[in-house]
Amino acid sequence: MNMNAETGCETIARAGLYELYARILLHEIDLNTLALFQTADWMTCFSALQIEIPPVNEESVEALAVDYCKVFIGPKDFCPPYQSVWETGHLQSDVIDSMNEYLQVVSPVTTESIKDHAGLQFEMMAQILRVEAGSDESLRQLPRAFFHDHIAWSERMFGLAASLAETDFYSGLLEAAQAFLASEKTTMQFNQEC
Amino acid sequence: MKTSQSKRQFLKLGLLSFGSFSLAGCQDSTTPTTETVSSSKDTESLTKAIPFGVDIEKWKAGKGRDYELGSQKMPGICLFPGPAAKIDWPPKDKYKGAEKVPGMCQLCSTVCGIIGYVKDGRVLKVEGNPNDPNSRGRLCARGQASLNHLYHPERLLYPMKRVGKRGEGKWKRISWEEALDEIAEKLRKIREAGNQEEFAFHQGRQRSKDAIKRFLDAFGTKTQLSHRSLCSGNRRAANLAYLWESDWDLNDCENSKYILNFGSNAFEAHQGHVPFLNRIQNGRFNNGAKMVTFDVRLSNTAGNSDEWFSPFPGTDGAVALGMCHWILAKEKYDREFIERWTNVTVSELKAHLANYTPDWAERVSGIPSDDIKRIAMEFAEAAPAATTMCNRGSSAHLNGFYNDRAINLLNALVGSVGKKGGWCWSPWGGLDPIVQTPEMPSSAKTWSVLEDPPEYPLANVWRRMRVGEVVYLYLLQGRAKLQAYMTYNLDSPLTWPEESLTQEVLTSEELINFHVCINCFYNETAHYADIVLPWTTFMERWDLDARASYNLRPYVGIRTPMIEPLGESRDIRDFFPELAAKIGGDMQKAYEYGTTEDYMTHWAKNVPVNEETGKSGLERLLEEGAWENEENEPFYEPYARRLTDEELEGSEVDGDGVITKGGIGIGILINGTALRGFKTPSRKMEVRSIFINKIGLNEDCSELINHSGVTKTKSRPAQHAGHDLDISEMPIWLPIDEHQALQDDELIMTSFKWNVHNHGRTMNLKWLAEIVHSNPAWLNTETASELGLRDGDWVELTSYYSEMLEKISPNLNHRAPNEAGKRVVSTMRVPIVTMQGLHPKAIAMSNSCGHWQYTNVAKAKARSEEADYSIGSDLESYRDSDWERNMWWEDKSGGDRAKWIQNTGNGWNQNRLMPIAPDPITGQQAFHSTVVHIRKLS
Repeated sequence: MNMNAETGCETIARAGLYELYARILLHEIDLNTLALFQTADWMTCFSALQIEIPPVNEESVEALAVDYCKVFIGPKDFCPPYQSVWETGHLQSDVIDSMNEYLQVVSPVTTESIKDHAGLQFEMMAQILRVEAGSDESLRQLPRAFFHDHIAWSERMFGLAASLAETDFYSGLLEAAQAFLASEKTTMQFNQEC
Repeated sequence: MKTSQSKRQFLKLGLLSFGSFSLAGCQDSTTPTTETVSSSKDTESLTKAIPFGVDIEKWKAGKGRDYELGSQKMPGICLFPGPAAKIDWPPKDKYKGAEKVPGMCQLCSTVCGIIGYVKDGRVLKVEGNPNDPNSRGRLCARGQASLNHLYHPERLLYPMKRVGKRGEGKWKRISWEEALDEIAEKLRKIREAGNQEEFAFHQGRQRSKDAIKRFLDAFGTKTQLSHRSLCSGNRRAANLAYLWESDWDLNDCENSKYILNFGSNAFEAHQGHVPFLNRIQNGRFNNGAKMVTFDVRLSNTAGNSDEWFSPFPGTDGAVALGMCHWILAKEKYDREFIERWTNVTVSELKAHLANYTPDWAERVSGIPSDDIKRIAMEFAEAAPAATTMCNRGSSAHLNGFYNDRAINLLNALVGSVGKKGGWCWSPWGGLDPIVQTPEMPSSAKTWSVLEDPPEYPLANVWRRMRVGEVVYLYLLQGRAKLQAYMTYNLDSPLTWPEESLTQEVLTSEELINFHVCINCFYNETAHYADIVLPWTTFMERWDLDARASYNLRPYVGIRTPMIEPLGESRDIRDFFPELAAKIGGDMQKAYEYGTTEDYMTHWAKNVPVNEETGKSGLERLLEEGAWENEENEPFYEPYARRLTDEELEGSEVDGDGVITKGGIGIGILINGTALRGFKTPSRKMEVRSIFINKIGLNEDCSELINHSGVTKTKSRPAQHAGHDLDISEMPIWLPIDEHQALQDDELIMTSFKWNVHNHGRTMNLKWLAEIVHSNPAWLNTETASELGLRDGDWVELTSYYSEMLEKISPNLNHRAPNEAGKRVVSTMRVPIVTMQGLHPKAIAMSNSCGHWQYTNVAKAKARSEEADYSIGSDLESYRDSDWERNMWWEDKSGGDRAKWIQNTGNGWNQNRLMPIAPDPITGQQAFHSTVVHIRKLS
């Protein structure tokens, strides 16, 4: 049974947001992406969300690359985008076992060697939501399960990341991500107590 | 998302993003507009138009069951000892199905064999490998913390390039391709201009000697710098002066009856650490050996000895000479050994040692003469199953070379040299020579003052020990130029003397034009790099490795990648061939062996078959982790071996009985029998070394070298002309000028290692840092009382340059004296702990502490400096929050001494007080000779 058009459209939008954040988490912003963000539709959205997009030039790309490194790569006082770190204090905890199970089901395009990288998880969530949007009723538990197991943890990571970011672009976008995940918890009927 | 923003706007952004990113390639794909997506009535057709990869059938078959929220377990690898850990620890099925993969630890220099329990691409546990003949399956706390090292949340995982000023701390990620291109361009220019010596490779602890040598020889530079002179230069040189064929005495403690320890802390540190400790304790408890330790400080080794004596710092050699005198005086020496196997006579020895009486030794060292005499007699009576052992306690002094020469002499007098239970060695400092790497390029021919400073005659004679501590000073003085500098597992700003000078030079782009740092973590050296390359840990890379084994025979161990390297970390074996190809100019010819695994297969191919398993070569090593040829007899009394007829064919005998073949020494005629002898010019154990005296004076030593048979040894090069030093042929004790007239408020600084740390690479490991994370200064109770100090008081320490070195080594003088005529190195404020376990004129501080980079654990910071969160501090879901709740030792004083609580913080870098102070003979850094002024802080 197909879900109705309104719900389906919202699911697509949510999938799109996961894609956006997967992109933001996995890679630095390049000129092409910056140019895309400067197009009218994107600018309207970003502006409404009070996220500033820097001009399209090499200087902006360099500044964003430095900020990305400071936030997600290091070398110090940074915000490792790995679920294991946030839940056990180390890379490669048992979370990887669970991720490997999901990777049997979901095949992301990204080749990320550390399997609990938030960017990879967001891309997988986007894939899952696409399927949900495709209305396969038998899969209705999948997004909820994956969200609980491998997405919900990142809300606080985004909080830290936003506070570390020095550019308006990253601080705005990462702060928005935190809010997005809070709303996703509601959508997913995620019970924080569990 | 700001609260005022509508969900609609956010979803619009989502609709725009949908399908806009081809994530793997980071390139744009489709760019749907809000209108096109939102107007679509057929979401199904849209989602199907974009390829996705969810295997519905697999989901249904596996996790497709009804999902119960909260059932997901997140126990983590390192639950111990978090407060919630007991819930799941130890999990019953944790190791079920795990593969046991051999490797070798590298958290200290002992390189013990390890086994990693690997399951689903993760290492779950590390333990000792019982097949390792040296370590016998034992593994110390450092090794147990390997998991902290491998899975540290602040590991370097990507190459980075400096942005902004050097040392500013701003970076951006770059690809390996970009990194190697930039490095290759720099190196190519240097090479093409014929200035290869201006590329220096500076290593800290390294166990991939072949890979480094291959790259540097292929490039054509001999400027390979190391830390050996900061470690063991004097001990090695003292051994070499006696033996020539080995720089490493292997005390056969397991079979000994008497162990006389001068300043070694084998129970906590030492290059032989656990294997050595194991054999010492076996000797004591299974063989009834007595152990006596002379050490300024009551180390755990001293504390576990049968007797401990605390000599005045730097007088170990005087105590040893006092004992030698008494052994001769009481006729307790081994005349046969001395007359037959040393190059001096008993009467020569008696004459030389006449003034080194036990009473004299007591005046110098403070050790009672009666004890010196008694211990000398006990040692002699236990011989030949009696041995000395020593290390930095005696050798890291301005007179350290002579100290160790004097200590070794004890073994010659009692005839325990090479005997079972005695003072032994082996010619195999590393791998069994049965294994051979693929063909190496020919050695580079360049010369650099950084690698071969002419002021230190014994630094590079038998072995390339170099004089690492002068490198930055010589650069500052303009004595050398570096266009490119590659550091590897090195933390010189922390572990080198004169921290401020090191930082000054590393910061200067004029002095070091280009700096590439290869490391697993962002340490104090990486902070001053231009490019940082993420290095694999020792659990993610290949090596064949071995140490000089206490079994007195060689072995072969293997280090294997237990898992795929994390992130984009890479080993030099992996990227050096690529870098060589990019540099070009035929460099890649050195890498025509194929893949790294091909290389390892070739290297290990001569490891023989195990009859039980049928496996040989690399396959055998991968299964067993190590192989020792048990058909080799332990290296006892090698000098007494008869030469074979084949060896003697075509030989000649000179007037001293030295047997030569083609002018090269092969043995010695003793009582008409042709024996191998020692591999020295006299073919005897050289108590008197004419060679070291001639080398010191820059005289030609070709004939002496030929007689030794150690033809790799050379006379000093032309660049050393004019740098003469009169080195005593005989073991002596040399007073250190500034130690002779210490003021009441002056002490001699000594440093030490803990049993859970190495010098500069373990304070980031939380299991170890939790045990030791601070290093207040140790002060003798009596001294503290005289200075009006109590436990917990803070003092200001001011360190001085050596007055003796000021005269002997003017090359080191780079600071003007103050008004009082003293040349000050640095000042530091520290708290003290008082105890009886230290000489009254010494002050002790451990090293390993005081990091200002190297992860938040090393800095004892539970939170990041810039945010209210810290890594892994998700209090809502966190179950083992070491980074938050368990870092109880965080210093929250904010620099206010009054608020500082004992046993908190990350300590102080003791090396900040250390001057660059090489022993003038060998270049060994005198870490234990520095005089400091102490002042109580109110």
